[in-house]
Amino acid sequence: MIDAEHLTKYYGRRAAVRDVSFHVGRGEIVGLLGPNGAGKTTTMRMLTGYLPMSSGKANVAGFDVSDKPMEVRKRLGYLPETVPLYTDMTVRSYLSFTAKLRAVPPKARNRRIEEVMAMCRVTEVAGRTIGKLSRGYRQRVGLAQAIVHNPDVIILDEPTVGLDPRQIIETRNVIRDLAGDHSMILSTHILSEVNTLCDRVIIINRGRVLVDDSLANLQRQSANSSRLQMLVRGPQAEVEMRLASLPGALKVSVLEDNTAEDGSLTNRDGISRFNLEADQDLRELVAHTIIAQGWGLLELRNDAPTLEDIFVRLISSDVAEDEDVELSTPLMDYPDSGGRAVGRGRAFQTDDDDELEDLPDTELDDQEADEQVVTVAELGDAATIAPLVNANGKNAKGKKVKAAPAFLDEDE
Amino acid sequence: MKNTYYIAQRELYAYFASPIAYVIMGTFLLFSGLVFHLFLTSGAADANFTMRNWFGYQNFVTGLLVLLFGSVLTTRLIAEELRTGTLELLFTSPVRNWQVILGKFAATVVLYIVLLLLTFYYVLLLMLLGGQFDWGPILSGYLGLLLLGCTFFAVGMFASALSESQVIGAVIAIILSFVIYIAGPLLVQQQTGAVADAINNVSLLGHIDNLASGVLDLRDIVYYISITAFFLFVATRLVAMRRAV
Repeated sequence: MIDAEHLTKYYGRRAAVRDVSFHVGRGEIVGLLGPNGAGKTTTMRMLTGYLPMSSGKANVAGFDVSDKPMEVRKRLGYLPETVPLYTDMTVRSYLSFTAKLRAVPPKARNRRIEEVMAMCRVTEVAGRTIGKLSRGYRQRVGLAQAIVHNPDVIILDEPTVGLDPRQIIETRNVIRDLAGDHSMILSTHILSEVNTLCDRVIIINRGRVLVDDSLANLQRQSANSSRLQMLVRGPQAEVEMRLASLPGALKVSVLEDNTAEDGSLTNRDGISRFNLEADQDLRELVAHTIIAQGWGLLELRNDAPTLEDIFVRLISSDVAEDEDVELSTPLMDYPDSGGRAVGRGRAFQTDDDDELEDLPDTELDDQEADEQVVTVAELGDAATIAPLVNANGKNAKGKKVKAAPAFLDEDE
Repeated sequence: MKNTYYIAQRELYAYFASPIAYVIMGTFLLFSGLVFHLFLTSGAADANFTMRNWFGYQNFVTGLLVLLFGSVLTTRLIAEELRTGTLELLFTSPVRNWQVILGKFAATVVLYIVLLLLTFYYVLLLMLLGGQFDWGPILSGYLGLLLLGCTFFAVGMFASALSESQVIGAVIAIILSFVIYIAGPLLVQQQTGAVADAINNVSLLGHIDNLASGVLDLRDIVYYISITAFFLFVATRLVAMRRAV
């Protein structure tokens, strides 16, 4: 349903998107993942026809975006990052307006509007002015306009940004309900979102596709080395030595904090937490060895790399490679943000002062309280990327990632 | 065409949903009433003469009011959508750029027609006072004001597409409208000759006299429509270009 071929977009001399190609099949939900400024929004805007591409081709819902923009637009639902709402309209009149523009037949219009309002869970605010709604409602009204004409292709640009945890869950549920006949691309920098919603993930950084694969594949490929974590009762040094001598073991380390996650165990009973890295799965062997020695095996866990691990590793190595590339190709002019961790900026920005003022006094009081939670909750979620890279500070080769924050630049 | 209608409908809704349109219209009516009063009480108490002056015969007073009205009213049209991102909604919907511009323009014209109808009480008032009207000049005078307003709206929309800031848009609109309205005639006041004639002819002001005095000259009408179309066209191009950056 969506075919992007060598999409490239230059802003002046700066390439925001370079040679991006991918395919999205019918009914597929694809997550476009990348740090802020990676080119997600630019890519999506080119697919919608909003931005003309510098070069490349895109085919959406069977029509070429450049040659037949009107045909594409008829079959496309799009929720931009800034939800395009007319704040002076009521929810129902706004949806009616968007339905008319998308040529929903007059007879079916009202029924369809009721339908999408129910789907997006905004029926209870149908008669309210959009400007007076909380962010969660606004986002879902934006989602409703994107699907009001039952489009083949849905493109959502950061659909959950700036929402509180409850609103995020509700919005995700709506998105999940939409899956099926619709092909969908949704961009995000929240990794767990991809995990919960998408079949496939396209990771893009600095305007290029780094990875285009199914989530399962991605995790499997990255699991070519195994990392075990275990809690063992026994003489620490001896256990460590024994583990290190296992065939395939690469590195054993004792973790300082050996408190079990539920807090039930502490150091007192000669219990230590070990980390074992190996080039193969040693779980059986480890269990056997420890039991055979008469030690106690309290816990044994395979630390499969999370999407976050994969993401951070890919992005970090990409940055490292680019350091070399940049020296030889001065044409690509990237904004270097120095030490600014702008990646977190967007999460901070989500707090909207106007909105708090806009809220009417009485019945929205608890929503207002929710709004204030947003910043903190969002931070926890969205900010994961930046500190992970920064905290590691090194890429896979052990080389210090000097330019780490540069890719987090917001300038898209 | 349907899309243009839908856009216009929404825009009218927006006009009347906010107090701005009412305030601007009220202000216009206040000052326009003052102007009418001045012409009514200045010398010859003839109904046709009063209205002819109010329509802008050999003066630019009402025209200047229309200029301010148009500039302030239209400055929101594109700038606000640029700022709030709703333009992205319109330009990813199956609507053509010119339909968006034309729809917004049409809504403004409708609002303006309502305003002009509200000024019709001048005519009724004069009739009540015993005035005998020659209806041709009244209709052509209103047509003149309508066409003049349309050009100001088009210029205003062009200025609105230049910047996300409504204030900047309004200032540009007022200056630009002022220049094409009376800057030329002010420069060549009392002068005659080919150059002065030419300058008078390209200015908006130079074409209102015929219409205000009841002379329907196709050249005047074509002139106003051309200027309007030109600025609407440029506004459309400008909006399309703004997407690329």
